This record gives sequence, C-alpha cells and structure tokens, in this order.
Amino acid sequence: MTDNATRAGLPTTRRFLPRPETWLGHISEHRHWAYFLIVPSILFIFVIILYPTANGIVLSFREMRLTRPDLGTDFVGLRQYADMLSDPVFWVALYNTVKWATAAVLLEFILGFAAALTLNRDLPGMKVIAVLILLPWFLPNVVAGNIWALMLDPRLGVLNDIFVRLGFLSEGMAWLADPDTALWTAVVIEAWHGYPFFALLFLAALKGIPKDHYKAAAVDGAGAIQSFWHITLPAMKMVIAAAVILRVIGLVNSPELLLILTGGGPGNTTQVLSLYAFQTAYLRFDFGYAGALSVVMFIILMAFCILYLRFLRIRD
Amino acid sequence: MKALSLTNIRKRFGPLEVLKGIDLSLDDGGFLVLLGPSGCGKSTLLSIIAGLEELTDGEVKIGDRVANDLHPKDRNIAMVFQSYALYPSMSVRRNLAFGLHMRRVDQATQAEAVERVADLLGIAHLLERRPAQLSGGQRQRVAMGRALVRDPELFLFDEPLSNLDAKLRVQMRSEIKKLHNRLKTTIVYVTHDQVEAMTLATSIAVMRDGEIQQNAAPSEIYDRPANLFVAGFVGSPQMNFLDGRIVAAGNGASLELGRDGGPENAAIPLPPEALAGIEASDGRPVVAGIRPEALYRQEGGAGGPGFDTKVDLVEITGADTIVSFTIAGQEATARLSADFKPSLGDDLTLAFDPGRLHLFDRETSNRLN
Repeated sequence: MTDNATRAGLPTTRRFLPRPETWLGHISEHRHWAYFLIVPSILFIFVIILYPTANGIVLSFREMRLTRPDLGTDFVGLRQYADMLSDPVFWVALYNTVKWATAAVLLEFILGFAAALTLNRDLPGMKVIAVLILLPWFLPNVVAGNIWALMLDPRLGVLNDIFVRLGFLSEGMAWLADPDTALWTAVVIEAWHGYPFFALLFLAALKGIPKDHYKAAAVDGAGAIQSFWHITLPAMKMVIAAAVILRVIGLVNSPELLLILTGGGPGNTTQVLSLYAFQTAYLRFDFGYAGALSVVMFIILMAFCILYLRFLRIRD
Repeated sequence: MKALSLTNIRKRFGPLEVLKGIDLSLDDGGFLVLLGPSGCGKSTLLSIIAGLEELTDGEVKIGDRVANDLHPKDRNIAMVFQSYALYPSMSVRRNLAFGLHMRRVDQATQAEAVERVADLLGIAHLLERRPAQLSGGQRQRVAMGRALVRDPELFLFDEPLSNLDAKLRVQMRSEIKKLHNRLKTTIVYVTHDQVEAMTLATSIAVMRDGEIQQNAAPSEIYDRPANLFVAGFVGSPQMNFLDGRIVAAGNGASLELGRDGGPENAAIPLPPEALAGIEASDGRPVVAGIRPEALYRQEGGAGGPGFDTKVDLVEITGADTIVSFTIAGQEATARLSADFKPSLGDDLTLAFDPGRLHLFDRETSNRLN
C-alpha cells in the first residue's frame, strides 16, 4: 500500500504526521485545552501554598523544637493544642488580635469611606489628591513602621516635639512603650497605612453607581442622607464585604508593623497571634507550637468570614 | 393657568452656552415634546425643569410657583429616565413605593397606590422581582409606574423609549398616548425621534444649538415648518430641497429651479396661492421644499404644476414606492403608490399641489410663504 502510494507520488507521511503547528492547532481546539493552560498555576499553588499549609498543619501535631533535639520529632497528637489552652500569652494575644483587627478595620473603613466620598466629587485637583492619598499604601510595612517609630521617639520624635510645643504634653511621651497607649498608637499608625486600601476600592465602587440613580432619588424626594442610605450603601455592599474580609485577613496575618513598632511589648500588651506564632517559630524555634498557633488563626479567620457573610446575607 | 412656564432660560457650561434664552409654556394636560438632534440642549432643558441642573439665567415656573431655587423633591414632578434608573437593590414594589416612602405617606396608602399603578401598567405579577430580573419593556413600565404612582403636577420623560427595540417602542408609544388621554397628565417629553414627537405631542418644540426653532402643534410643524432645519428634521423620507429663483411671469410668477449658473434649469409656473405672502420681486433666490409624499404622477394634462424627469432609483418598501430622480441637476425623491413599479431610466411626469410647496429664503433659511 505504502509502496504503491510512494510510487504514485502521493505525500503519504504527511497524512499521519501533521506539521507541528497543525498539531498544536488540533490540541487547542480540544475541550481539555483549558486544563493544560492552568497546569502551571496549579503547580505553583501546590508548591508554594498547598504543600506548606498542609505541612504546617501536620507540624502542629508533632514535636519540633530546634533547641531541644533530644525531644525528637514524633507525633504528639493534640498536645500542642492542649498546651495552648493553658498558655496565658495565647489568650492575651487572641484578645489583642480581636482588639487590633477590629479597631484598625473600623478606623480604616471610616477614613477610607470619607476619603472616597470626598474624592468622588467633581472638584478641581481631586485626581492629584487621589494619588497623594494612596501614597501611604505604597510604603512597605517595615518602612512605615520605622518612620513612625522615629516620629514618635520620646526624645527625637517630631510628633512629641509638636505636642510639647502646642502644650498638649509637658514632655516627650514614649507612646509605644506605655502599656496604656502602645496598642492604640499602633492602631492609629496601621490605620494611616491601611486606609488608602479602602479609599481606593470604595472610590471605584462609587464611580460605578449610575448618576441617574441619584437623580431619580432626588426627584423621588430623597435628601443627601437618604440617597446615601438607599442608593450608595446598597450599591457598595459587595465591595464593602470584600474589602473588610481582605483587610481583616491582612491585619490578622501580618505581624510586621507590630514587630517593628513594639515587638509585642511592653509586657505582651501588643502581642497578637501572628506575632506570637512568628516569635515562637523564629525566636524560640518551637515549630510545632507555632504550627498549632497558625492553625488556630486559620480556623478563627474562616469562622469570621463565614459569620460575616451570613450577617450581610451575601450568598453568591 | 399654565402648568409650566419657562422664561429666557440660559445655561452655560464654562464658555459654552448650551441654552440661549428658551421661552416655552405648557397648558394643564398638555403634552410638550422637545425634539432635536443630540447636543441641541433638550435634555439639559429637561434637567433644568426637574431641578437636577442649575440654570445660569431665567425663570422656571411650575404651576404658579417659581421653582428656580427649589430642590427636585419640592417641585412636585416625576421623571422617567432613558436608563430607567430603577434602584437595583429594591424589588419592583419598593421601587414604585420609594417616592411615597420618602414623603412619609402611610403604609396603607402606599400599598393602595402601588397596586393601582401596577394594575394600570400590567406589572402586578412583577412586584416581588428585582430590576435585574426584568426585560427592557418591563423595566420601562416600572419606570413609568414610579412616576405615575405619586400623581405629580408635571411628568418629565427623558428619551424613555430609546433603549427599546423597534417593535416594543411602537407599542409603548401608543400606551403612553393612551395613558395621557386617560389620565390627562401634563407631560414634557424629550426625544430625537420625530415619529414619537409627531404621534404623541399636543405641541412640539424643535430645538437646535440651544435655541427653539419652532414651537407649534405637530400638524403645523409638518405643514408649515418655520425654516429649513425644521423642514428637514421632521418627515421621512426627508423633504426635498431644491435651489431656485422666483421669477415674475405675466401676471403670475414661476419657480425657476436650478443652481445659479447651472445648465439645466427648469421653470415651473406657480399659481398666486403658492406665493401668498411673498413679494414676487424678480429673481429672488429661494429654496423650494417639497415633501416626497406631496409629489404624484401626472397622467394626462390636468393637475397641479409639474415637470418631466427620469427614474434614477427605485426603492420598494411595500407600502409605497420611493423613486429618486434628478431635476435641474438636483437629486430628489418622491413617495408614490405601491402599485407603481417603474424601471430605471423610465420617463416620469411628476406634479404637486401648489399649497404643499414650501419656499424658504436662501440667505436666512426662514420660511417665506
């Protein structure tokens, strides 16, 4: 058959081995092509997220202290979790985490909403101001933390100097070293750093509300406050929900700012779970207990998200 | 009492003057259509009446109250938007009741008003749905219902039908007409669609570049357009405009068609009634306007003034046959009866009723006769 075909001058091989571009063309028409395309991302997610997460969970059921190799690395069941229940620092950190995240999100939310509403007005110069307002968000946590630590320094800090000159204080105050003010000072700094996130998302959402809705509401008899309540807020519900969730997760999971500002002190008054887990792992080298702390944080965040969405009645 | 009076309304956006002194008034129960091409200022004018846009100068009077400084909510108006502007987070019922709710009308009255309007517009089965779950036509009805539910002094419609498909638009148009006949509401309606304007209005204000070109009853706009712009904007196919001159001939006059210095001029003798009001000064340059539907085929010698030509193009619409031809070097169209099916190049003799000839000044473009 092949011989006959060759003799007849027919291009037989081509029929069975198409050129590469044709072959690729065939595959890309295939309905499983989409799966091939997401394989690289899946691999990445597996290597840098799923595997470490799973490993962390497994770690929380094992003994793993780098300073006590004599204890081995055996499975210890729920012992780390049992230890946690009787660990006073854990409870302080948990309480502080709730205070820290709630206060910071609340403050950032209010500042961000006010900024977005202001920026949404058609006034000259608003575009420039919009960029300026975003600047704090561009600063890495570490840089923002160090700038503020310096500004609040009891002897060198410019803010203390201003407060003294204005007569609010008689002498420079160690805001971050005083157990009464440390956490709230950190919250204010965090709010300054984080509110542009809300401002940006809320501004985008505000821009998406058709002007006609406000006009219709005005004709229907709604004043400014009623328009805000009946038009603006419902239109922003989804964005508000998403922004708050993202920000709470960010705040609960990131220890950097507190690590730089206070290191959890004075006397654990600014100790939060993420910082405690970090210090347990990298100062005390107790990876098993740090793993257990992380798992608890993970569960708390999951529970928060579910309850919060239930509360807002958002299902989709 | 006038339901609405506008006096010398001016609106400037920076250096740009979009409304240049508008004077309009509307009787109780009237249906005023603001008609014009996009950018003529008609929607701005409607927004000024609604109080959604500040005016630069002039006076808005709704009923017997000067409304210049009143908030939209205090003007006792209702408005239907082109986008419908239904509140997406509320059910149809709440959308309809919103205006009453804002005015602190008690629940029972609210419910009663909503039911009445829902029945009137045939949307009673949609009351629990959200706007996103409605079709375009249903949204349009809800938008109208939201306006009707409050029983205001003045209804404002901003191109309410332009987002609907052609069939639905015709249907809603006649429903609006029926509603107006039934409820005797006072309406100001903005559109760029001349058919909507002609069919709905008791009075049309044709606007261009922030000025009113003509404000009159639909028949007057169609039969006696005040200038070339109005003549060209209203009517489809568009009115034929032919350059020419009025030339005295014997004890009458004739219309000599053709551009100045053109080679192929055609003289059409005109009876005196076609020239009523024109000084037959010899050789006055004019634009002659003849609607395509004013032309008819002349068979035999009898009939109005006419001319010979040839068929350039035939378009059969089913209801009529639109024939394009050339006269004195200028293109024109005639709307002829559907049973007439000529071939290209056929000889054609057309005539018109001299009473339906419009003469415009070539300089000012204003109507002469």
